[in-house]
Amino acid sequence: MDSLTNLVDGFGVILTPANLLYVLLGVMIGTVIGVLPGLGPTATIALLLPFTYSMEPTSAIVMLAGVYYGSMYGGTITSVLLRIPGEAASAVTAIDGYEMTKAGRAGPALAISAVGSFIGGTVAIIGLILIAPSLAGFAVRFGPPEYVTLTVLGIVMVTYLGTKSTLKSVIAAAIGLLLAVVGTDPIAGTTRFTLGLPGLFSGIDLVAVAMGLFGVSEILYVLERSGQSHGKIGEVGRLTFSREDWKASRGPITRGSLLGFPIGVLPGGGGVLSSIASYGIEKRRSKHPEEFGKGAIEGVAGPETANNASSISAFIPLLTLGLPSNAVLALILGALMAQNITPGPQLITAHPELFWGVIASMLIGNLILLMLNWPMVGFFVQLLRVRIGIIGGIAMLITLVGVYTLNNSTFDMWVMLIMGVLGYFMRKFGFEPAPLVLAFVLGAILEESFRQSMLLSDGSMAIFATRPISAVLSVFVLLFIASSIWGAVRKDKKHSIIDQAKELAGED
Amino acid sequence: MTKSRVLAAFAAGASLLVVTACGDSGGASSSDEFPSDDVNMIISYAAGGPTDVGGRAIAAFMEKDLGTTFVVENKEGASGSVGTADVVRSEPDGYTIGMTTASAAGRVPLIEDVGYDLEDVQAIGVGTFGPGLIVVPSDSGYSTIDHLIEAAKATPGGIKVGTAGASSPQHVELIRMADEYDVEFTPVPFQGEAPAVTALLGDNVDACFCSNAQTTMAQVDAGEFAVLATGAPNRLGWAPDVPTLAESGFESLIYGNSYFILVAPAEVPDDVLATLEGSLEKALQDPATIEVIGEVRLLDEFMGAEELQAMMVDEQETLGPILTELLG
Repeated sequence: MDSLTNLVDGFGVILTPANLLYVLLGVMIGTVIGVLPGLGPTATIALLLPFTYSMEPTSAIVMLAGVYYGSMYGGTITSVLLRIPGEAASAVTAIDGYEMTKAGRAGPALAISAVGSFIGGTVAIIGLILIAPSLAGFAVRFGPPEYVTLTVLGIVMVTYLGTKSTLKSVIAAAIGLLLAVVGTDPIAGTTRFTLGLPGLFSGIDLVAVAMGLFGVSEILYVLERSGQSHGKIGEVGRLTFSREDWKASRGPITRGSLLGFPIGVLPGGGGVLSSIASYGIEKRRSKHPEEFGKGAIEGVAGPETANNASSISAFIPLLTLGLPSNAVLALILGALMAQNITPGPQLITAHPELFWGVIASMLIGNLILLMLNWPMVGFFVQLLRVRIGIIGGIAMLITLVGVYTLNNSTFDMWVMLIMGVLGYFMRKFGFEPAPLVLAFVLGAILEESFRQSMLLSDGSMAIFATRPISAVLSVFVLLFIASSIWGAVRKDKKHSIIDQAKELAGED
Repeated sequence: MTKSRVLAAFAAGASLLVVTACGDSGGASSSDEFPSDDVNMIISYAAGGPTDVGGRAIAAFMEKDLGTTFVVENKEGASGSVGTADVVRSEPDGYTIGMTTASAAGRVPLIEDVGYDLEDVQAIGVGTFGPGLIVVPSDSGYSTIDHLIEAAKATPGGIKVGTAGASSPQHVELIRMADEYDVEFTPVPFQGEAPAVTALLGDNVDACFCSNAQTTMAQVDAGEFAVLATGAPNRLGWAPDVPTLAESGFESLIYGNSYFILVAPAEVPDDVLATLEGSLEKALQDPATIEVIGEVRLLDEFMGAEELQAMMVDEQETLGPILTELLG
């Protein structure tokens, strides 16, 4: 059991006062921002990035990961009590969760969410331990042609799975691809589209782009709405669930764990899709589907389990292939690169302390979250009284200092501010920044790998079909495109999970 | 690496103020008492990279040796030219020096308009050395450089060689090999050495012309990779059996290497230069410093200001035409 020894070493890395503190800090921040509506995990991690430069790489990633899965717990609280999802992945929980609150059953809803999240998270961590190392060993064989097909698949899925309009996702992704070509041509070595600015010679900085699109635009957007106040906060009541509640939730929690895990691995997957998929499945499987929407505990337990499982498994593609599966992971990629660690198949062998440390931290972090969430829900609810507008100015200042310290360059500050304004207008007009950032990251890899493939094959496109892995992936890409066209032609998409997601996101 | 870059930035800012203040009062301008103030060392590449590790180790020694504080700041970007430009533009009093690469000082200005040229740079000496290494998997069937060359002659362009980037010294040498000797490999550039090594491990390329970065050396030490040749002008002290390209029939291919060098602005006074050069030479003999840098990353003999400057001028003259054609 190699993995077990390594995991023990991982605990050795994490069970130091400093690293434990970072786990605690991460999951606390995650819970808090999960509770606060508007401020999601992506924006928070964007704002936290500069603080990680001075940390050990493991501490940095442990904290950021904690923010991510912690937010999955926190988001539940406002969904259930206020019908306001603290972050998008908890949107479906709001449907039945709030109905339960109205019926005086907020306590069981929150308690089953916490338990489901813990189980989903733990199952996913075990999956990560079992799958990631062998996948990484396998991934060494991945050459440029495989990366081409993987990134194409990623970009296609990210645009299609975006929670808003597919057309707008395609436009955002196209902008991301265009931004990715600025800088040094990866094969010729010459610079292009730099406008003669030395700051652009090595391309637009990912962290500056992400901090602008997620962090700054969020601050601007929240400031604009800071006058609005929340409705009445529901009574929490006793935080326990009955034997009947548990019997009803057992199945959804099991299925949520098994469903959330693979969805998290998919490009563009992650929290939102997994919780909606779980809700859809539970409703379909239920003997009493009419109760869904009227306070069915299954509609809370399943999605909350699934979103937590997916937020853990989303780390697999990044840690084994260096490919981020969603915007949060793109930011964590940025954090690693700022530490001079380029994730890829070699990460687990080159930085075992990082990989196993992060896994150990997830086990500990999930336990902390379970203990934290259960007794402290009342405290977190009080956070809703904080006016976000007040911290906006401070957050802006921190962001500016942070992006400056990235390269000690004022140039990146301008990049971030421009991206912030772009992100603000994108949100106003219903565009998501996530496809842009992911296409920006994946586009650079796609171009480089495609041109490397052409060098390897002496210019023959057959290389994508003759190598088994890239051939299989190419077929997936074609199937995916074909099925989305087919779906659009039939116009009969009402029942697809993705479209339910889009409707829900539209309501918000 | 683990040092707080935020703090470093503040410290650099603060000490800049101090230096300026002293300069105004005439305190630090007198070179006969150099150094009488903090020295700023600008590292032109990211924290944690080879330039940074070497630079910080050397700074730590020189700090003790010269009895003053070295404020180290990373200023990366644009192939090292951002930080190098900052050094070149600073007051030539020896209180601002830079750790950069021979490539950033001499090659990049040929390709890009970076606001300085080699003439604006005064070399102090070589800190660490990254010789180009041609490596193949140990079980590849290529046991000598001659085998590999024969294979390339038999199928021109058929042998794919990974490099750490299109403008890396090794990549340029492969292009020169095709131009000048009609031996044609297909160089495949990656973003840095680690992905190139991964590609070789996965048999996606046939060989790599890399350097002695940690990722490469780990595979060499583990016996996974065999080193067939080096791009260094002379055989390497730590690998005496590995032939140079120059002695394998490619006399002019001696530039496929990275030199991590200490530089100052061109007008720096001679005595200040001598002080810095002397301290650098001592640093590279200091066991503690060698321990940090690693013996495989040291030149067998110290290369000081004069020799290094001459080498860079020579390199510029030889490579100028091909670099402008390829990358300009």
